Amino acid sequence: MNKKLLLFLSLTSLFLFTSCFEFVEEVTFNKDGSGSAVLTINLSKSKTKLASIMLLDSVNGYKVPSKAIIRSKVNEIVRKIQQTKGVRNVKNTLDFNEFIVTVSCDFDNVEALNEVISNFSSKKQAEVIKKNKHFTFNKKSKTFTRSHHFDLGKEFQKTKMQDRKVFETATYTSVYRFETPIQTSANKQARISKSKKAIMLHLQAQDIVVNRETIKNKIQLEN
Amino acid sequence: MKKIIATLLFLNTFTILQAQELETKIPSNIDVLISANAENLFKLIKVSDIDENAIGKEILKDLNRKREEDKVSSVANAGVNIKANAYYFFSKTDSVSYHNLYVELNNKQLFESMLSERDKKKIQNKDNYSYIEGRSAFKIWNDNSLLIVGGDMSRGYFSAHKERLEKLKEEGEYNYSFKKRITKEWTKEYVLSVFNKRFDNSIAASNKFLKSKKKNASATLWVRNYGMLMTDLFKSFGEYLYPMYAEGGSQNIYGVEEVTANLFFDKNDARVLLDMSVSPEMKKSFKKIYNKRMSRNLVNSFDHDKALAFWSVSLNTEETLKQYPELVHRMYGGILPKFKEEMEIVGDLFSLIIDEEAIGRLITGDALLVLNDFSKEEVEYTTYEYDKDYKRKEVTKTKEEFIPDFTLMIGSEEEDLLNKFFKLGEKHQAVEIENNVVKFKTKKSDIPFDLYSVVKNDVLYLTTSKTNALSIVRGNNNFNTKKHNKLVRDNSTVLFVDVNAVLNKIPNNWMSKSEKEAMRFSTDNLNDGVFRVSRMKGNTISSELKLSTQGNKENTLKLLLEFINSVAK
Repeated sequence: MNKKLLLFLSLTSLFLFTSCFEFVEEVTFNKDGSGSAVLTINLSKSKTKLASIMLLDSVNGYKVPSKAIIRSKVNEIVRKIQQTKGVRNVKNTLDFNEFIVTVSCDFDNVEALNEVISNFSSKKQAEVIKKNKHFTFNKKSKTFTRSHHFDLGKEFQKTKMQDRKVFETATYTSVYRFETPIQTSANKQARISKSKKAIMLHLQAQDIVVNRETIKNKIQLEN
Repeated sequence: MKKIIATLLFLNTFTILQAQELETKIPSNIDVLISANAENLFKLIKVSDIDENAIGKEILKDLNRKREEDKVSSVANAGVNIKANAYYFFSKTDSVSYHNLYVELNNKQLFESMLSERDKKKIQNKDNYSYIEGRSAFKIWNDNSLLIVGGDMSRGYFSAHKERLEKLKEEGEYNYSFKKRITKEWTKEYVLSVFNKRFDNSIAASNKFLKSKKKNASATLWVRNYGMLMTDLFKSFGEYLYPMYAEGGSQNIYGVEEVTANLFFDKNDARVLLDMSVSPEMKKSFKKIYNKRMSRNLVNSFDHDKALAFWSVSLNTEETLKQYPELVHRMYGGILPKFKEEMEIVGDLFSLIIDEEAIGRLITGDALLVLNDFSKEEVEYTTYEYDKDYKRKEVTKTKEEFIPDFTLMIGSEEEDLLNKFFKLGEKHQAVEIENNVVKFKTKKSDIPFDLYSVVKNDVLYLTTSKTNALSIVRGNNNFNTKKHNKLVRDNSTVLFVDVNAVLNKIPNNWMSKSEKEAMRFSTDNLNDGVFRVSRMKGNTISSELKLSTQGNKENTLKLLLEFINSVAK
């Protein structure tokens, strides 16, 4: 049958959906500062839309990558992470039925995670990251900080109006687990679990990109 | 009494002559002409309608920005006579092509006062005219008219006459600035030879142009010879970009000759009517391909009163395949004269291998796509829940989505072959067949809807609705099939959209404020949109884009102005 025609129809239904996606960051720490991290991007809620988009050549002026290209890109990312010192056991999953991607790894210390982020940035950016580390874990003072080096408001202004819609229903969730109970957390939106050993931050992407909320946090563990 | 009538008649012809004054000053050898027909436009609206509109206000704001006093209060008081026709035309020589804009002035001083300070310093005053040689455009005017010209150098010309032109180059001059300088010089020469000259063979004397202007059209486009224009344009880009065309002679590659288009704003619709005449050689082929009526089996297979939108195409597959070698031969044989024989062989081989008649039976050339509805569907998706220790658990939830419900019909006289094909599909587990309805085993992740097929009455049906498929098999449809019957059967292609019906299917809460505003405007004023391409009549193919309205306003131009206002808010 005429594939083009099918695409045409899928396209007409495109504007009826708004995008949704979940971004989940989970880090579990051991006492010595080593640990494991899992990053999940879940686009399942938009899977109908994405399945339709995958049939197209381009959308909103962006070229739509094929499954093969997405796979090879993800593999490339995994390979790059594997090459980072202090990072082991890198695994990933890529589910084209539900549109869920995960990448997980074990790390010797959080510096290795910062290194991973630097490896995906330009040299100039890498310098900025050095001064503005995404993760720090001070064993002595028992503090953990989550930060980032982006000027989100500024970056957001650069995006096209129609692209901003992508953020409208997206969410960001982070869960950090420690072996020692948490004493305080600087980010008021973060919730500490009953056992006090886990902390979760759940935000709307929209609030983050307009700087209404932040993913930054400083967590003080009990001595 | 007679005298009065005579005077009125005289005045009337006089005003018409006045309106066409510029036409006597446009040479008839131009290639493209667009005219804004002021007389017709101002039958529809008043100058004040423009002044009070968002566009008019924007223009006035711009004009008045640097005026401390003597603010301009109307677009009609800016020096340009907006009550007279305005013209854009495109003309070319083998070296430079020119974009021209010709308008009448009614107040030269006022027009000059509107120029920017920088431009004012550049004005050169001659006896009968003044001009500004700008960086990209040449402006020239006198008491009555203003001509603005931009020139584009042909790359092809430069590479062809490289040696001769090199001699004109100044020492140390870069190629780019040399070309720019030469283009400017030649443009000036051209402008002075055209401006305010009355031509014996002007477009006002051109029968073809005069015929192209339809009564009551607000604007008219006329292209002398579309195919030749394209050939020349491709050539002018130079052999670097289009080596094929640079080599060929002067061949009308598309076989399309004169093209005319007219824009109308009537009470109940706004439309563009485009007529395309085809060269005598191509005419025969086109006639055979396009002059076919869609089979009633397709036209009567959907409810015309309920369809949200449809798209029909009807051409003769057998004839298309038969004419194809001929068309290829004519198009490419002309472009690549050296390979004329090779092209002929390709054509002959094509005819030899392809059984036109058999393919024509399998796919007759009728196709009709109907958007019936948008249906709601529960779709499952994966998300996460967290326990009291924030341990993540994968859960499945459902949400509602809107899925298009459509039917595609393809004319085919080879039912047996199609049925064999589906049987084979069943054997290989690509489809399931039940009650003569074929269900495609598609994965939800590949296509977001189910797909069913039925072969009946020389039609292959593909539809998203099982109910629909079953009722086609039973043949007990009670469709209203009158509304679009003539439209579909009289044209080779039709695209129809019931604008409001489609908009009403979209949940209101998914729309932004401006989208809601546009929707409100649409439901209040619009009806439907139709694009159609006629069959061949004589040597002409006509197409029309028409937007029908509810006729609440005096005319559709007023409605357009109102729409601009409501969106600009």
